[in-house]
Amino acid sequence: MKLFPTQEVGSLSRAPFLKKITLKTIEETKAWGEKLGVEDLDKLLSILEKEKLTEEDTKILYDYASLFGIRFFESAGLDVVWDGEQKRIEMYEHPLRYVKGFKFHGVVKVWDAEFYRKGAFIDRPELIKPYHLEEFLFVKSKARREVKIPLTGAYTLAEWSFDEYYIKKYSDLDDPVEARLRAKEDMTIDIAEKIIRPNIISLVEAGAKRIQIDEPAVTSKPWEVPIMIDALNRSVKGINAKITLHICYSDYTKLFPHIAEAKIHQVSIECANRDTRELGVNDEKRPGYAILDYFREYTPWIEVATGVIDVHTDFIEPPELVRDRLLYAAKKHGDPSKIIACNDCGLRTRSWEVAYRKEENLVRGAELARKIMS
Amino acid sequence: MLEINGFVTGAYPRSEELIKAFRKYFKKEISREELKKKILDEVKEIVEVQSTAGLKYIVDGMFEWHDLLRPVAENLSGVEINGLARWFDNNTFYKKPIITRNISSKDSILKDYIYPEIIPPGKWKLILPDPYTFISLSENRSGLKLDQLLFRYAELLNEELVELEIEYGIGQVQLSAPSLVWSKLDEDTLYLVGDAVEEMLKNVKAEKMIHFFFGDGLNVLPHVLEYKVDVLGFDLTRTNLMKLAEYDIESIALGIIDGRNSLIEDVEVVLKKVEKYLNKKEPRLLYITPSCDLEFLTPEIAREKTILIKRIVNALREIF
Repeated sequence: MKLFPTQEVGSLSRAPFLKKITLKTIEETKAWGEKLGVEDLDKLLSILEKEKLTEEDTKILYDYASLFGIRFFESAGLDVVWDGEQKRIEMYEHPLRYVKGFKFHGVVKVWDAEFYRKGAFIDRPELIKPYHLEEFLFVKSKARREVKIPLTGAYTLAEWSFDEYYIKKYSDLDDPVEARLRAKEDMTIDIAEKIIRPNIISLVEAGAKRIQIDEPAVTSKPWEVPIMIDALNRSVKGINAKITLHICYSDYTKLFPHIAEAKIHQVSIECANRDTRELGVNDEKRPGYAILDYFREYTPWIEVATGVIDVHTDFIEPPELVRDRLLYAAKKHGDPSKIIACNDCGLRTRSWEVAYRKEENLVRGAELARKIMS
Repeated sequence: MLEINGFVTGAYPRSEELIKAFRKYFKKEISREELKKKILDEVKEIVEVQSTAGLKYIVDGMFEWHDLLRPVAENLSGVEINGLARWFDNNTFYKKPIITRNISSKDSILKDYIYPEIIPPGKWKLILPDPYTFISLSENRSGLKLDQLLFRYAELLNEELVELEIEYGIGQVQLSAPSLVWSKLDEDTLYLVGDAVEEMLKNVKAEKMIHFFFGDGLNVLPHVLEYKVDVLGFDLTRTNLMKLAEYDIESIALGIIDGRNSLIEDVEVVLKKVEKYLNKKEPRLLYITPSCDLEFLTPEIAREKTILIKRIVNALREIF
């Protein structure tokens, strides 16, 4: 297997033709379609030129968006791809639309004028239907590279939701922290077993070989990391697929030592965001990768997909910077074969122009690092 | 004789309409006046909700406050605003102040953020970060030590408070102090903060409260019993009420309504807990409050929880 294989992590901003259709977006679509080598482009363009779109047309547009997403990452040269989550609304709201026992309440603030639609578990959850299966089957049918499908983990779905059911069982406890911890554990395990696991099973039965579980919420409450690990293990027990755990913008030290119990093959973390932009393969230039000491000590068997591309800036990482980040990560970890080259997180906040150049340089940088190591 | 009353302890959530108005304002699609009009409508409505609930003190909703620290951070010289940081263990974020040099005030710190004229006289409740919360949640690049910054902050905010009290009259000043209970601080720091709190509230005639939330109130006991405040408030989603009963707290605010969960508490269940507390320890003054701000909820649920305060207070008054 080659060193420093490259992979994406999650989202890409919406394909141009999923926004308002104007002459400009049609031109943009044509330009990107040609650049990425998207097949049947003429069919897409003829739909975009219609005066009024039917429901069937809209469905076709979303299929094309997914195709554009796949070709985006493939043509940039990545080894492992997804479609940039083109068909998903948002990582929390999307899955919960398919859950019985859950009720949306309305919007709540994240910061300033950013908000999300939040709801409550009002009963034990039941899955209405697997919510990523159709999406996966489409991507699988079109992808020419290895495919890795992301889904939101049980702990994050629990943590970002209200609890109108589980907490009632513990309302008599004097210790409110203990009451909430037990309720959270019950809720998370139910979500893991009744929602996440059936989704994963359906994906694996449909041929999924790589699954990424996203748990951005986990280190906001470090004392609950064991709950996340337990839920994750229940979600993937006996599953024959490569499992990646993705956590971004967190204090990763809080994962240890618990993460040693996680039944995962790979962890995907954000490091570029905390790093310098200077070249170099030493501690001073590469502070973003200090956490690899912990992985080396506690979990040397787990692959670490270290983010070498910062997704929150338009700065285009030169291939040499990517190279140095990977070489340093390999040195810090101790086993270069365990280091994977990827982005910090999804590319949703970047334009396609910026995102594409970043991905091209991710691939070039990994190649430079590979040459040096060999 | 036990006096029982209630109020909220923080910001209300903005409506979806107001959130959209703020977005339009940031994109310069509407003017400051147009935004202000929408804020004022929401302030009037939330003041009415609290008045109808018979709350002793009333907040203006704090709809102008993007986070607890922002108004102060934006209006102090020597402070810049940096990137996002997580707000304790919540799925919300605040913009981190950076203290670059000794702080001073530019003009009035709060005048663009408050609406006391909408609130009935004597009932206005003003909420501010306590000195330690503001300073510890900021990044200190000033070279000044903690005690210097604490007292400078306290001095500046005291000037502001005294002026506001003269101009508008204040019913209650609440210092929001989550950083004091988030982890267990050493004794010296707690005593230092006590002195800073005293400085911040000196010559203020309003009822003075300090509210500890997002952490265990026992972390600050018994030291805060000596703080020069009238009321101590605790987040009972993080503090064991029966352990709190081991301390003699004359005027106490029980944050027994969960400000971070949508479940509307069962009045009977709440009564049982409060009764158990009162059987062990009877204060002179008891307030029923949410555990923290209500801004983690939707506007509808925040209003329901406000009305819940009234229901619990009324039920308690019937018994005690």
